[in-house]
Amino acid sequence: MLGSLDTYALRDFVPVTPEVWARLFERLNEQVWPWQGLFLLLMLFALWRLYRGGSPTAGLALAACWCWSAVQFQFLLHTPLNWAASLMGWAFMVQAVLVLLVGLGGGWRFSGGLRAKLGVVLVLAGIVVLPVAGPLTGRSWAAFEVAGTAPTPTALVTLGMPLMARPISWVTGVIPVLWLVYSSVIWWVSGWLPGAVVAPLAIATLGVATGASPWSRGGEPS
Amino acid sequence: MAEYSRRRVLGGLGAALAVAAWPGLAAAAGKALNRAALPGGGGSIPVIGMGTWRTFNVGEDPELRQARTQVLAAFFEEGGGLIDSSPMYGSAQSVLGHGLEKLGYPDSLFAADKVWTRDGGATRKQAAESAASWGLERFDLLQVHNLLAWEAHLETLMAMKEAGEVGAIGITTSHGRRLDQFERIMERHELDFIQLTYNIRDRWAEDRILPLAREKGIAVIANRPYQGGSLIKGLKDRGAPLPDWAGEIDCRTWADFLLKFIVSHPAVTCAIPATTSVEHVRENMAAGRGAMPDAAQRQRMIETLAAA
Repeated sequence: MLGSLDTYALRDFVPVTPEVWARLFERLNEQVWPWQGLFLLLMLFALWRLYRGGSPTAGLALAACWCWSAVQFQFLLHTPLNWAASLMGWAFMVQAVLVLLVGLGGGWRFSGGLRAKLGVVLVLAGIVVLPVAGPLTGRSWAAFEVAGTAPTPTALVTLGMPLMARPISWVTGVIPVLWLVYSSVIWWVSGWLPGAVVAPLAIATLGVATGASPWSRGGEPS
Repeated sequence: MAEYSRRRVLGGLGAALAVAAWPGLAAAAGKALNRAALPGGGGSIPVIGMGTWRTFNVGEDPELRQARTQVLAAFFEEGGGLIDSSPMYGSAQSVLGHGLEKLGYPDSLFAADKVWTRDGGATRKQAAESAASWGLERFDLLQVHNLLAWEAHLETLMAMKEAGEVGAIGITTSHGRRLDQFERIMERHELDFIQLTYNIRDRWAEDRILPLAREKGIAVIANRPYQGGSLIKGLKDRGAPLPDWAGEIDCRTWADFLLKFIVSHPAVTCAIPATTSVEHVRENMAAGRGAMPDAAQRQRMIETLAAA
């Protein structure tokens, strides 16, 4: 169908205007208020459980966040704008199952080292840096992207957690990376640079982590 | 121009309320746009219409739905007619339906939509769903979107036209895709409309398609008049000045300049710029008024833009 791709620009494949994409996050916050706090706490709880030695509850908490994001963001808000969003919603549900299975199957146990530090970077990017970057670069505070509710911060945290853990489970990274790529393309077209660079930076971080020994710099296995 | 559903029939009172709520609609008749005759004695439509790709895909957002209703109101206040959408455009159809209902379905509406499904047997079903989204009984024009499953859809659309279920039928493409096939379909089938990309930079259609449309009496809708916005944005961002002689063809803005170039082609019936801004819709509609460039002036416009 795409006979002459050279006549297309990237924006031709994005079905919404920047205004609508930005408003999506304001509406997400309007619709989930005041439960953002609860889901952020779930995320923090998952991290705490991971740090304290791992537990199935870490995967359970993370799975709840992915389910919530699938329903509230993808199915209810995004699907009316993009028919492909329902597929993304189902992918988020699959992701919820994956993190749940990893959690139940022994889960993540905290591990130090360079890779864990890179994991912390991704987690902090998801919980603090990206959400705060929005209002600091001209986006509305009402569109503040809260980890556990908004998909991009949730994806960043989900990518960071396995890096902090042993044994590492890359299977839970595929869907978050795909989402980050999609999100970055939309933000690139929309002209918001911090959003556009999320996927490249996250993928670069994962690339460095792949080559890093899990117990380098003091993270000896027990 | 379109026939409307129960919502519309019951909406006589709504129309009166709409005029009260949108007083500019009542004055629309006083701002006539240049019109282009439709082939086959099918009346005429204003030379500037409106597209809805991306711009009307706002979902259920009440704030943005209200903003798009204001864009629609400005469009009709300025004398607009043809609005084009597609099932591919996310929520655009239902957002249009919402706005049109608020405005009491202005009489000048010429409702154009598309069939966009790989299922060649789903033409009627999808057309009915689209009409329900707009709040209409039937469309003035239905087109096969980007030639998707075009043989089956076109056959059904012809039967629908014969049965009076649609006013006119056509095919669409964009970005200069599949022009050879497009041309063959034009040659072999009885079409009322074609829609394709045509603007001052993208002029592939001038060689064969537009002459063929003239020869066969097919109306032409030009999409992507600003190359998806990048053309006019580039000119505005650079602060490029309009040429001194632009006043000869009643151009006060680059929107005038770019749109007048398109609709002054003898084969083109109407251009469909898309916008989210009331200011821009008024700017677009202004291009449909006053003098239009002749062949020599059109060539000058091409040279001016190349240097701008």
